[in-house]
Amino acid sequence: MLLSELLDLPVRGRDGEDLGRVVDVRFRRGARRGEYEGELELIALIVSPHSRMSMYGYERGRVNRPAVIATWIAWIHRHSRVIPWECVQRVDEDAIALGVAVPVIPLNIRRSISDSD
Amino acid sequence: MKKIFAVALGILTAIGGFVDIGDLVTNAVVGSRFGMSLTWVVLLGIVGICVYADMSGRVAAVSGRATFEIIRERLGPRAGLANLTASFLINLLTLTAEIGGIALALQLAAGVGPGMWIPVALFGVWIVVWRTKFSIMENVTGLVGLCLIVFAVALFLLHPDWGTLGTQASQPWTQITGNPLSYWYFAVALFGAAMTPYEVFFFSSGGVEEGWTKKDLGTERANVFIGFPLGGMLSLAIAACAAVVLLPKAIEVTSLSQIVLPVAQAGGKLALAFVIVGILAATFGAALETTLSSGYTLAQFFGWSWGKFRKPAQAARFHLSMIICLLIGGGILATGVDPVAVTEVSVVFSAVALPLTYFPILVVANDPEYMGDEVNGRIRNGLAVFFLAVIMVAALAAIPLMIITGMGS
Amino acid sequence: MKRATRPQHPLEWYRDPDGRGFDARLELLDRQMLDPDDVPISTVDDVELAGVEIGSAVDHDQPPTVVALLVGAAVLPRIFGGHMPRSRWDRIEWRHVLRADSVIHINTAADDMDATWLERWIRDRVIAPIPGGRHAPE
Repeated sequence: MLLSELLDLPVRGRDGEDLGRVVDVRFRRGARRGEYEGELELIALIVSPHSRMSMYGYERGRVNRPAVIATWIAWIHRHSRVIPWECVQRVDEDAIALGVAVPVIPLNIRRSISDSD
Repeated sequence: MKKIFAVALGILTAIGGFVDIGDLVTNAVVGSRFGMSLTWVVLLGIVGICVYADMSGRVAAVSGRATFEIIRERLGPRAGLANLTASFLINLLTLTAEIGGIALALQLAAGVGPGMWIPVALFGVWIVVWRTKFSIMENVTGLVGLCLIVFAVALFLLHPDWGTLGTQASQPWTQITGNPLSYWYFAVALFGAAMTPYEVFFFSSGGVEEGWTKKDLGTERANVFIGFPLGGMLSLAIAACAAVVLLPKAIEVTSLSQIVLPVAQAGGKLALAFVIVGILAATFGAALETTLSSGYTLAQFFGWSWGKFRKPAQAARFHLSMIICLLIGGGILATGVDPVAVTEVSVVFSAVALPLTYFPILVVANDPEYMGDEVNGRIRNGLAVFFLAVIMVAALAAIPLMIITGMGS
Repeated sequence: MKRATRPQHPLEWYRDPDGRGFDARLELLDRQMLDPDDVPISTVDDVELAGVEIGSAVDHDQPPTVVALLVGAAVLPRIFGGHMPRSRWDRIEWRHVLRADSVIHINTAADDMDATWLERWIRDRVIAPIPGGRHAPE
């Protein structure tokens, strides 16, 4: 499967509700193998309910200037969240279906994680 | 001592290289119709290009990456491709205008043409791109382009009424006769001529070509903040000459001969020789820059090997795409279209393409991953955001104004 | 086969997995790839994943991993839609990647990879025959 086929897919919760679209896919870099990069393991999907646009790095906390643009992009991608890969039941051509109730993990690390769905 | 020489060379090259056929034609047209009342647009454009050229130059020096490489990373392929297409087409249009400018300058010199000079111009541009070292190419065309200072000299020799010129510049509304929308159309065109996108692509790719590092930031800043404004003064001199000689007699600018008329009037054959050489160098230099820019944008977007520092055999697709662009530009001119008209269209469309170029540069210049701690400070960001807003307004207004005013008539 | 389960780690881990987080669209896709001599190879046009397939349930015994980077025509479906058949993929396997930072460093020279055939073709057929093509500029 290709990464581009995962991106932009709608994500449906356990009860079929629309949680947004995949805007990025988070991996964990494994240990380096000598001179080479380690394996990349898929651990989570970054999902945005409001926009498919790229975030240009603003939402990861890395870039936050100029303030005007950062604020605008933050608003477009409000309520973006991280959905652990373990919660995914199946990947179809037109949507990703989750198999369990998924906790809300806001993408913005300045927001705290609540336990409710 | 060597450092001072290098910096001075850079500044002089920046001055001589600032003016291209778009600046020549647009400033002369504006001067002949509105006097100096659009001076504020030129000044605005100069500050704008300084802000953005500095940002893209700094990105190149600190990160070692040129602008278009980063545009695709930041915008993704779909938006990046839209950006590429628009920038590339407008670049191609500008390239055509510059080749036409070379042909026009040769026509002025030889009295015949311009059609027959087009293949000469194409071959000349290609052979320099193919074989000449980047720095030699830049320095020679930039220094010879300094001949355009004859416009400033001519202005003084014409003994203009400085008071009138000053009033026109500081009270623009006094000069608006006829349709006020025409005034704004030319404001947008002049802005597009001053802030042409290819200059930014070229400046940042040139930085990578010349292997700029953090140590070269001082040189880069001198080039931009001293060289560009002085080059901008030349634009104003062109407009002023037109304002003094052409405006009172309501002479319309339709070809290069009207543009150089004030110079010939002020300084005779000698001055005319200087200005022709200057125009030739400026348009030739600009043709080189736009040709390379078309290669840079394509190669950087698709990740091809690029750069004049590589043998052509090591950057095959880069060179092939430039050859194709030159042939397309020549083909357009071979249809007999008036190069001055092509120029006028190209500056307006440049204004339309500006936001596509400048927004990604602004984003990257703020990204610590590329810039380390050389990210934009507050003042630069404030200026950059202000200009982004101005650019957006100009871009949105350009085509409607062009249609409504029928290209300013 | 393991079906979907509640998340295994403390939730904060998904935001920062041991400092080793890597977001593919932001940091891998569309990045420039360089060979050991810093010659540009291509941009990363797509990424091939193993361990997940369209239309089937996800097996959580093993997480999906990146197996290859795609170059060349792979960029077209991302712009215009549609799917490119597997046989046409120009692949550079992940095991060739030395380092992934602001550019992706590959261990093989650009000329030695199948995926860069177009550059070589143009070089040999179009550019080299033109006089001066094989010389450095002066």
